[in-house]
Amino acid sequence: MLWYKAWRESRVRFLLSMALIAGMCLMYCLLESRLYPGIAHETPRVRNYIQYIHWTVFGGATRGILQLSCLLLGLGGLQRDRSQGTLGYTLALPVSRTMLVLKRAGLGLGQVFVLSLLPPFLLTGASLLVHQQLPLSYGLPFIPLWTIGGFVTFALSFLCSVVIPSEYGALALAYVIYIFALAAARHPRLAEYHLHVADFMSGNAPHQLDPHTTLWTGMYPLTPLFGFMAAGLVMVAVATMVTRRQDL
Amino acid sequence: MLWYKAWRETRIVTLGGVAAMAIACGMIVWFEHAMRDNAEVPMSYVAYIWKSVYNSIGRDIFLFLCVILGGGGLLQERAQGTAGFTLSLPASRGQIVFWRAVMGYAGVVALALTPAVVLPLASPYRNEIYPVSQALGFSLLWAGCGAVFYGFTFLLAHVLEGEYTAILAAIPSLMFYGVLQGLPWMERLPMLNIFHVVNGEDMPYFNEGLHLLTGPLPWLPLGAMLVLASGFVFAAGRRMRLRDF
Repeated sequence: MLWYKAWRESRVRFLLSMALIAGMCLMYCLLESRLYPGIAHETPRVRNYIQYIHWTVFGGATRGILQLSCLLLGLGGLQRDRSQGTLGYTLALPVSRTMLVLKRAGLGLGQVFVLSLLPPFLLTGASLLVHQQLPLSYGLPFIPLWTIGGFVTFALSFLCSVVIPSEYGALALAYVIYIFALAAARHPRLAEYHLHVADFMSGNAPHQLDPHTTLWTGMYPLTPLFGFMAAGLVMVAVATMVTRRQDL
Repeated sequence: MLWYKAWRETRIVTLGGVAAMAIACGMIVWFEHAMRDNAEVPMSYVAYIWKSVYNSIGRDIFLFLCVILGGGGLLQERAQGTAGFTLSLPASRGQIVFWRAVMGYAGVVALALTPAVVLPLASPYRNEIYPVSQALGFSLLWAGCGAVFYGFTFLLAHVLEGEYTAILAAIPSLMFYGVLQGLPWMERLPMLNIFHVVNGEDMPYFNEGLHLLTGPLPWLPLGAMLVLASGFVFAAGRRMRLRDF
């Protein structure tokens, strides 16, 4: 039943995130004839429909919304129970704190995965409605990238929500750390390690997408995939350890 | 004491945000040599500061924190079960909303002023100069545009129930507004593009070559933004007056 408890606590945010991501995919796809000219005019690298979809969805604003959703999905937990006065009930359940944290993290990973599934399938179908073609094989490789990159973002706010008692404070801290991490990844000394999670999710890490055609080159970023997954798991592990020892 | 209550509710985000903004600006100044040396196109120190602070990291942090600051209010207190205590205070609901709005906006102004303090003070440590007048000019732009972002989220937080719902609704709404700016008829009214007003991009008062504010600031649009933000707060107050808790 811990899954169900975690689901009840996060379902509004999750369903709203689903609606937002689906809405943005459909908007960019169905309004393509109106939006494409402006974007192609301002962006030299957008020269065809696939590049337009990558610019707006897989590597653009929709990916940003997914990351924002992940930041919000990571919030909650025992600190929120405490501020709402329901902590006693949660801690009185015959389960360890570790289980409480891990079930919430597991559900979060599942939610990020479901959110990542939306764009490839929605865009492939909706593109046909506007007489365009976006092969499903183009969108599918983004699913692991979005899931793992989203999980890292989720884990960051998850950890902040465990440490910071104020919910909005945790969100602000998570966002600031996220922005700092992105900025640090751009530093010349760190740039060679390709730690920019947004670039990773967009397929812009080296040798994944051809920079000229924005098509897959056939090489898949397995090392960053496992690296980011490990980073997310470490953050969840730290959050678990902190929660176990926390004086609530 | 309503202001003190509002301050207690917003101080973590305000003080944390100011600290984060100061650290971000400080680090941008500190690493300026490394970043500029590796830039694709050579740029002056002033251009680097504009691109890093006013057109990138600093602006992103500022706008997001404006949205978070607008996210509180009586509806959120209801979710936490403390609305009853607040409503039992000997003050009208309008006063509660007003002071929450004022203290939240004070946080927005503090955030907007942070680069104006840090950049001119930190630059000499790297043997560079960033004009105070430029930093203050951008702070004014941030304070005016930030009022709209803050006020819009503030209104949403007093309309939509559910934690974070206001934030989750505000961000895409503002992004949708950004998408609308691409429509031809909107391009004819550049002052309607808050995302450009906030950093001067494509604006007559900003010199794109020098990356400096050169013309008079857009006082009329800035004033209109404050009026619009006040309208959002007023609407939030009216909404609370009629609300059955």
